[in-house]
Amino acid sequence: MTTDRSEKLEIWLDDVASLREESARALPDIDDTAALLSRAARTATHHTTEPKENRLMSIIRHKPIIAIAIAALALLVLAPAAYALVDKFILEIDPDQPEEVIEEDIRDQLEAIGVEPTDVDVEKIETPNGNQVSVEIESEDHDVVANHGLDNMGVRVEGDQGRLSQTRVAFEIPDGYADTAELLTLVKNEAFGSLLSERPTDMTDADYAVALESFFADHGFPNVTANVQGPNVTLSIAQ
Amino acid sequence: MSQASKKAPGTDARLLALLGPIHDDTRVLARRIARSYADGDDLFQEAVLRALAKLDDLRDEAKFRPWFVSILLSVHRNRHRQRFWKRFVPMGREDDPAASPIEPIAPDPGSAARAQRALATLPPVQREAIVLFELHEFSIEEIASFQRVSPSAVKSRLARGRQRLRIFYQRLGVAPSKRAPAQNAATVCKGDLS
Repeated sequence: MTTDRSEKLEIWLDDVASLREESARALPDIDDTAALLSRAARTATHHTTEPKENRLMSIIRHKPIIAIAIAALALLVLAPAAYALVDKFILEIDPDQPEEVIEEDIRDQLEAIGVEPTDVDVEKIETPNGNQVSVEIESEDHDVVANHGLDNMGVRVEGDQGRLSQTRVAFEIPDGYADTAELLTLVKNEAFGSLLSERPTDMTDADYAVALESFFADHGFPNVTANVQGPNVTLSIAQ
Repeated sequence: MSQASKKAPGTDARLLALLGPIHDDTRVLARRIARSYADGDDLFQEAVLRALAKLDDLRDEAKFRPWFVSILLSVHRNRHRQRFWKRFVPMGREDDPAASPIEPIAPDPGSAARAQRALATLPPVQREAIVLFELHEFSIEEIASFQRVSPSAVKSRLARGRQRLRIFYQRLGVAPSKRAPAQNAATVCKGDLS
């Protein structure tokens, strides 16, 4: 592909040149922007900003499909490291980093597997139950879902009508845990991905928790306790 | 408490001072990446308010220009989020402008309105890339920084965007331009924004 600036054979060059000139005409000047800022300051007390957790709920309420994607990647961070399971791909997040650093890190990880996100938005949210890191990933790529399996981004699709359910996995890892790297290797394993994506619909939460604990015990991690509440799975690792 | 009322006194004056040198160039950039000048003016105002809310996050004022351009692009893309989540729903691609019939436009060369309509058929990130590269003459690396993607992703967006523009014009039956590349591009704003 060429990335030189467009040469003479481009059909649209003349029109773009016209747009370049016309779009700069009758441009509102900086006084207009100053007035905007002044109005913003004056009306500040009349506008209230919802708490961040309420904003998330608001999105869930009004846009259920995108809400699933958000919820699937919302992690309850109770430990120095957190991991979001995205199908068979693991996003690794250091919640101690600033939001911008986490966003950049996620972009790098997604680009490494060929996903081109349009926007990665990370917000740290304080809730009565602890701190949450909300991760929202969007892409303008029409084919991103099919090409990268992101329809399984912690989400299972059931039936032809696309009814969605989700499996959200959060890890609680004690500070200074020595086997974090080995644990990561294990959860990146295809067998673990299958265990999540192929949960029988009639399996109870308790039975599923036992199955998860057995999986980890069989792979050298007998200190994992699984707590399953519907689609929400929390795996706690004891020292 | 509102976003603005959380700010320290004088924050709006500080923002205005920082905006001054790049005000016109970013304003015109907003018009060019939006689907109409009115949308562009709204987009710019929204970006200014977003910048006001986040100004405390700006640690290095020397980097205000790329910081503000990134905010402008982020606001631009936020306006298209609904289009994104619709893709999860099995509703087809009725929102794909490239697949829509094109109303006839006068075939005279040099139509700004036609360029705007052509750009409007591009996905937002491709439109941004084309405008930043072709009209504002930013480098691939600079655009990658603004859009927070790799340079290869920007190259891909440019190639796909150009292809869609060609298709738009070919469907209109417009003949290729015979003139040399626009020399006046250098008079635009690349140097002012980078």
